[in-house]
This record gives sequence, structure tokens and C-alpha cells, in this order.
Amino acid sequence: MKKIMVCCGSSMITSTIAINKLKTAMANAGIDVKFIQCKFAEVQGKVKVERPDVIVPTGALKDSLTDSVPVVRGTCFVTGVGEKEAIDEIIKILRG
Amino acid sequence: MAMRDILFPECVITHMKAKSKEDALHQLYEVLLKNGKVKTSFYDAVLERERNYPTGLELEEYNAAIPHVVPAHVEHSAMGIAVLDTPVTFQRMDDDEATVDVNVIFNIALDVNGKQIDILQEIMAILADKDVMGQLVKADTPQDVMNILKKEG
Repeated sequence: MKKIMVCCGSSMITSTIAINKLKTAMANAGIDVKFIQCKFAEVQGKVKVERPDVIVPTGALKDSLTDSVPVVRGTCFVTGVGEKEAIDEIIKILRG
Repeated sequence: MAMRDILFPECVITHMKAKSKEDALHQLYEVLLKNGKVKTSFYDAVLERERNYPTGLELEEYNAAIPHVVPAHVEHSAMGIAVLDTPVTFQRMDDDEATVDVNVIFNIALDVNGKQIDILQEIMAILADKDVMGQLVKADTPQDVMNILKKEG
């Protein structure tokens, strides 16, 4: 079971969108995934407890908060621009 | 619930003339407040949220911003929409050091947290569709905006 941490500002709007799209993409890729949804402000604490395989923030997230976990920027799940590339990158990390 | 349920012509402003992002957001706040959709705390909450987590999105042809806040500042779910005559500058969601000149603002006011996924998906589908965005930018009246969006939804 792989873990993807999806985070956004505060109201869980953009991360909900991203998770919904990633659920479909991961099911299509046949990868069993658990999603962790949180706010940017919670990332630093949760990353230590949950140890996700990849972090997908929908906006800018400071590198210092991610504890060397790979980050794939998820703004594309909101805009639709560059979605496929991001999904491919996430799959590559999870299969790595 | 679908996006059409949170669209109200009285919460849409076309040909908006705004000096700044703050000015544009205040004009949207005024119509949302007047129509009983948001609380008086909404404007400050939107600005603060935008300062911490900006929502400007660089899209294919025209750009948009999707300012939004937690449900505590909302009375009834609604979407304020501004089509600007001259773009205003927002910080970018994916890079808060960079800016983007925004043509259309979708001010999303939802009264339940992260649950209205269908509505959110409809909004995101508009952003991703450069034809629809192109029609919105040229919309003359709030009713035009309603017609364009209801056709999509």
C-alpha cells in the first residue's frame, strides 16, 4: 500500500479535487493507494508520522517542510494543464 | 447539488472595472453580502487567505483566480463571478513569488467543507476549457455568464 499526501491551503477545496482525480488515475494504473489529506500547515508534523511516498501540494509548499519526501506539484489538477505529466511522475515515484 | 444551484445572476459582475485585486474582491463581497450569501467576515477572510495561499491560476489563454474560504464565513453556498474589463494581478497558486493577470474571478463560497465535490469538479472543468473561458471573457451581461455556465453544467 502506497501513501500519497495531498495538501492545500485550508478549506480542503483544491486538495479534494486533486484526490478525486488521483483516485481514478491510481485505480487505472493498478496501484493500491492510501490518501492523506491535510493543510499546508499540517504537513511538517504529519509527514513524520505518516511517511508518505509522495507529497502532492496544490500550491507552493516550502521544501523545508517535506522532510526529503518527493514532491510533485498538483496545481495541474485544478487547472487541467499538465495533468498527465504529473500523474506519470507520481506513478514513476510510487513504482520506483 | 450541482454548480447551477450556486449560480445567481445577482452575484455576477460583468465589465468589472477594478483598480486592484482587493478592489475586485470587495465588489464581489458586496454583491454576495447584499444577497445574503456570506457573512461580514467574508472579505477579510478572503484577503487573508489570498495572502497566505494565493489562488491565481495561469491557464491556456485567459487566466483565472479561485479565491475561497472556510465555510465559517458563508451563509449559503454561492459563487461570485467577476469578468474584468482590464485584468487585475493575483499571486500564483503554484508559485507565490510569481504573479498572473486575471481575467475572470470565481469567488467560491461553500457552506460545507470539502464535500461538494461535484460542484468543484464542474468549476475546474470550466477552468480547463479554453473555449468556455473565451466565451466568459466576452460575456456582456450576468445573464450571458449564466447561459454559458448552465450550458456546461
